[in-house]
Amino acid sequence: MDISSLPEFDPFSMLGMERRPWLSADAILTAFRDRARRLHPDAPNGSASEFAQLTAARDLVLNPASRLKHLAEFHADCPGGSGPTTSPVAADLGFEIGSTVRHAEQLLAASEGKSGLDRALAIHAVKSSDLRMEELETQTAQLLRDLEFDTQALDAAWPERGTTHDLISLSNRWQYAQRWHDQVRKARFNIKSWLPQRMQSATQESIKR
Amino acid sequence: MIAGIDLGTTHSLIGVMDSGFPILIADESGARLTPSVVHFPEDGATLVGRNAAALLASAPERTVFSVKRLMGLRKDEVADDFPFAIGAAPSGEAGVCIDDTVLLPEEIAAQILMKLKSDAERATGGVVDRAVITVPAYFNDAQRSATKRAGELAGISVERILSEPTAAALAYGLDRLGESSRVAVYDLGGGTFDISILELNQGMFEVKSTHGDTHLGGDDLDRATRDWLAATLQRDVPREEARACKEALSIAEDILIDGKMITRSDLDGVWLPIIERTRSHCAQAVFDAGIEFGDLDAVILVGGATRMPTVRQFVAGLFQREPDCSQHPDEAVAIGAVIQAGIIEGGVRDVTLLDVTPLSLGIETFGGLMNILIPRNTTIPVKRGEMFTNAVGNQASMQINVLQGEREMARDNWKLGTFDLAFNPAPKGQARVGVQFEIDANGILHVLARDIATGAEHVVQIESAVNVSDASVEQMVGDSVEHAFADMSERIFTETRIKAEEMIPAIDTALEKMGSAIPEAERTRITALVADVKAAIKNENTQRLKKLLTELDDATQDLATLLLESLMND
Repeated sequence: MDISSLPEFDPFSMLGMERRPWLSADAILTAFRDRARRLHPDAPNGSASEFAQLTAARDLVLNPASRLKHLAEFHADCPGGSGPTTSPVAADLGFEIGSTVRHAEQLLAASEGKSGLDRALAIHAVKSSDLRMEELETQTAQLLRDLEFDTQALDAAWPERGTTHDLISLSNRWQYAQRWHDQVRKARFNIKSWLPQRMQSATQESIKR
Repeated sequence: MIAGIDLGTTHSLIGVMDSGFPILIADESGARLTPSVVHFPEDGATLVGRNAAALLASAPERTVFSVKRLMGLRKDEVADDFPFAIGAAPSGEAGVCIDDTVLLPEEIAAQILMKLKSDAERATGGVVDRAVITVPAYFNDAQRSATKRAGELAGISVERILSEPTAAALAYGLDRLGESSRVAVYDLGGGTFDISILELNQGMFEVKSTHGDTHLGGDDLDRATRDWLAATLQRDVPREEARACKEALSIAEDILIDGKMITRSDLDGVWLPIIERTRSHCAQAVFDAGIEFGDLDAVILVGGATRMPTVRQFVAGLFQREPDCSQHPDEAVAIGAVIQAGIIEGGVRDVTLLDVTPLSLGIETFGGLMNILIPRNTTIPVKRGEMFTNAVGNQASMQINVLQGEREMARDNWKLGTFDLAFNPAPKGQARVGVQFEIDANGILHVLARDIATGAEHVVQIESAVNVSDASVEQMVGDSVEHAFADMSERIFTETRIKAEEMIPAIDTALEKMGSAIPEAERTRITALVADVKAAIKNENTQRLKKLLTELDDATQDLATLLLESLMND
């Protein structure tokens, strides 16, 4: 029922782009804008339906994870199994991010705690947690850059030496890396939004005493 | 000819395209701004605008101002204190009590629109019955629909409901069509605050993100000024005097009232905490756009309150740049509305506007979770489909709760409405109905259901259960940042609990079938783990539960293998 799951939905041709693993974001957006000018409901021959399909196409092709997965679904190839979804190093990173973010959550909640000492300790811990998360964010950013490189490498050998397995494996790696990157960025943003206030009220509380 | 209308909290404006230029229309006294005030006399015709505003002090119960703050609200959601009586319409919507009637906000706003319409017809000598009307960017579905109804009641066909900061960006960008830039629009009006981040690319205006606060505007600054003056001068201070003082201090650093010197920095003490409230919305919009403050090329000020030096300094500090004051704070939104009218008419070419929906849209699913179908800041118009199937054989229908908001649990989000999905009789899992959620270019939701077997489609009527109020929208977006952490852990626990609850009966069945085929030590271990899992669910201990489920997985390996083998042998 969803546009993007209909078999006739072809995001690449909708954007006039080649079906390949790596595409430049600028090229995709330029293609999108050219067509958006014509298809937007406000344009003389535009329609809401076609425009909605166009933005769905843009989103699918822009995101490497969904682009690669889509390619895999349409790539006629010998089945190569699903293979590893992520490297052990990356998996460790993901695990650490998950637990660090959760820990920071708890600390931030504790920074509103009853005891002054609890609050101070929690706030200290949140700050060092954030320092660690800054390092983790650098790592996920690097992971994404590595994936970009690997995708370009796959693209260079395309289509002669690309398999469905390669596409799916790369797609999964992108999905995880994006998820972890978003997770740590969001956690850091939340800390940045709430910590100053918590620190201020904790300070005021201790001044009162 | 399509007009552009800014239906503001404090002032309203109307304009049209004239030989390719957006022109704002003046009323009979030459003023382009019409106060958004309506007076209902005991006898005689309703007064709108300046004439009505003249009666604010002498007839407060019959002179309605800031009616925009009531649009789309239920009576129990009205947070403001008004000198006129607020009542409830039969269906629960908030309205104004005049004599024995409860007038809906859209009916009162229609009076304002009718005056604007007649001013425009007089000025152009033509009929004006089509218009683009602007609303705050984060106005929800109910508020946008109410605005549309106001237009219809005024005899105007509403061609588009347009977001105010987007309109201001259009006004700003109209003579910069060859450029590419990334801008923020900081819109602090009489009653509302909006921040939008846009990318301008050769005539294409793309909104990347938007946030806002309904109950934040010049009105709040006026109230704080009034309270401070009353305390300092030891007397009653009328609203108008407080506003005049605020405006005077925008031009001068100090003024004399009752022989006392009142300085701008005195009042900064009460103004700054209010203006500070815009900070988190700006930070969220910038984050949602995937950028940093430094990535912006300009921050454009719109709205009367942005004339205040205090506001300008705040914005300069937050965005680390001098704000762009090139747009007329009171007129930019109306100009933008006229440009959008020109786009729809076809007179304005080479300009395309891509706006977004401000709140995530989703439905309630199993476990009371919010399942987001259309995330906030998605480009509109947008369509998303979901497939529904019957959970039990011959199920007649299923109730779907549609929600708006960012919280993990459905109950913490706003109920946009509910609808019933009808199934044709079929065994469990075989009736299939596709539902399409469309948010149109106005930001308004339409739902279409299609029976997969017959192909029959019909428009779904949504029963509006609770209208989403301004204050609740703003509170919602603010709350969701605060609760992001709490919500996520609740969600993880719920998902883990559901997984565990599915595993337990499966394990019981497996033990029944194959338990005797595994060593007693293993059986004991499995049973003990299941008991631990049940305890962890009861104690809501997510970490422990996850660990136990992993152990249980491990412990039931042999059992699983045996079961598979037994299946193959059957």
